[in-house]
Amino acid sequence: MKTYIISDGDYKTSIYETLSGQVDAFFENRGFEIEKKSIQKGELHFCIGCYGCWTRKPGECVIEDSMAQINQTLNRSDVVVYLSPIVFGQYSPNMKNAIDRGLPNVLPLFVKKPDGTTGHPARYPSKPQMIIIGYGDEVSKEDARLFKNIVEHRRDIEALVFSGEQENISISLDKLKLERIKG
Amino acid sequence: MKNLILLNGSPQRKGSTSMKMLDLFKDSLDNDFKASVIEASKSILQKNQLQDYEKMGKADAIVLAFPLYIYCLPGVLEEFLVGYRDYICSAGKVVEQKIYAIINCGFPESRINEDAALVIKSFCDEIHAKYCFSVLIGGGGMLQPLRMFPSVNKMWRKIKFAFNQIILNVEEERGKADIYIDSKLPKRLFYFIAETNFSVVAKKKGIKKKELFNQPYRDKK
Repeated sequence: MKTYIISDGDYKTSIYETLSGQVDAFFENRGFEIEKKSIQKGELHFCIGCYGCWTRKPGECVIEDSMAQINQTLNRSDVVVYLSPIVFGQYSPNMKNAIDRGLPNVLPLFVKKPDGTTGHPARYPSKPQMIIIGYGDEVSKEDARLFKNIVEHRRDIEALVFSGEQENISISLDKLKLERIKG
Repeated sequence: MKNLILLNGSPQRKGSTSMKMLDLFKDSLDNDFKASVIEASKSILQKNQLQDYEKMGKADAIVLAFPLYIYCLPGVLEEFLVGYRDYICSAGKVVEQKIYAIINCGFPESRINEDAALVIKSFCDEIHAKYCFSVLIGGGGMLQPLRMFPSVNKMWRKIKFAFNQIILNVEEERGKADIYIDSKLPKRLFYFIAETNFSVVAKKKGIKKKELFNQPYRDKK
């Protein structure tokens, strides 16, 4: 079993170090192989909304940088964990660039979701369990709630918020299914 | 005279729906307003942020237009706003400006944009600006190509009305509730048009229909 942990190289705060250490220990104790990716500022171009990943090179982003490697590793992992700073109640810019450029992993089809809104179906018959953990030193209750709401718009993605060094994220992770899920 | 900044948060290089929105907004202004356009992606790519932040800091109001990307702000706009927050906070400036958002999404339901409006509100709280309200628009990608459809044309009229509400509100003390504008095309028709459009664009680039479903990163194990 493999876990891919993606983090923001711009926000290596003390709370991040605590969170990261807890996440590493959690997966190591369960025998997972761990691969880590720290996204540096300027490393990923922002998504330019060209839809080339649907119409030019289906399934692959047409911008040439390290996102191709990230998408490949992500799709071949069992669990993917994003450690994202919470900024204005959403992801940090570096993390958002990575998330926006995950568009190749869904299809250019439109489906009605159980809540009545529209979404895109997954490209692959199975996909990794995605867990997005937002963190920050002074995250307001409103921003924490907003962050979870934004993440949970997407189907089958778990959202957690880590806002204090006294917290233990293992308790929350332990409640989740840690294996690939149906696409 | 009120000084407005019209901030385009679309990452697309040209022809974006957000830019069309700001063009329409600009056309609705009278001589009591002076409006300048800033494009977040250009500002970042051309490293013009500092000059643009200075201009923004002097504005009475900022009208932000952007597309919804994965249920919140596009990465490039988030980066631009983080930079503005840092500029305002590091200089110890006080901005008493009003902020409005015009958010469009590619899905028919305008309510999908609600969380992005809350992100803008959170940003305003951090810089102590006044979040006033947002115009939330569904079916953004259909607005330009299908404007001859009566239901889409009606959306444009609603959008123009909503922009007038922003213009009136710049002079007022209180904010108001967000304005929702849904696509009124039947959903099945909406999905059919959108999916056909992607197939046609792909075909022009030499991609066959079955290739749209390629799985380049499928684990062969």
